[in-house]
Amino acid sequence: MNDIFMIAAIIFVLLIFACGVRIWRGPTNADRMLALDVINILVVIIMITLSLWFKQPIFVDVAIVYALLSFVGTLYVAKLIMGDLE
Amino acid sequence: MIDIIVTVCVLISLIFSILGVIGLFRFPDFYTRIHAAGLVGSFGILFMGAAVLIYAAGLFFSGEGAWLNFGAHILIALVVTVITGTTSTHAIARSAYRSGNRPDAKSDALKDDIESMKRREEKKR
Repeated sequence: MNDIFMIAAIIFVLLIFACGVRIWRGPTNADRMLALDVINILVVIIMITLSLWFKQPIFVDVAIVYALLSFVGTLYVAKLIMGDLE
Repeated sequence: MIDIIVTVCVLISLIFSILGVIGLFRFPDFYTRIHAAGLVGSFGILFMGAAVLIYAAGLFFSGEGAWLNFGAHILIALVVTVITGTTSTHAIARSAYRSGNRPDAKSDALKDDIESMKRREEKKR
């Protein structure tokens, strides 16, 4: 059963690289921010997958902290795109 | 039995995440790409959390002590991710619309609302 978690984690990492391609060639800044948001969610999913793989619940703590901090960063960049930060 | 259910949940999460990232590339517009990104943010992470919850239930039925650790942490992680994911998606869509990113649609009913709202804000000043 551990092989399935390993393969799932590797596929999620490849999906992160695919979202990086969208960041590279996105037409607008909002597309880049949306792809970065998807990358944040995928990192949280990878942390939960690692907690299943290594049978360690400490990885889920990392996922919680990463979700909260990336939320703050996303809100800040959203205000930057909207033009409220002068 | 528990192993099979956990594996199926992980596979469902994997399938929804792959479909969401494919939709991030294939959709033509920004506002339709938000739809594809929401697929990753809702089903991808909810089924992965369900996998860990079922794994914790398996630990509980086999009599091990680590089930409360897994279950409590994954519940907090799911609540945090659901709240922050929806809020950040709404913030990105709002900022994109207000910065002049128009959707590829025939009729844009929100445009008139935004203009009337700006007029009201100017009148209030």
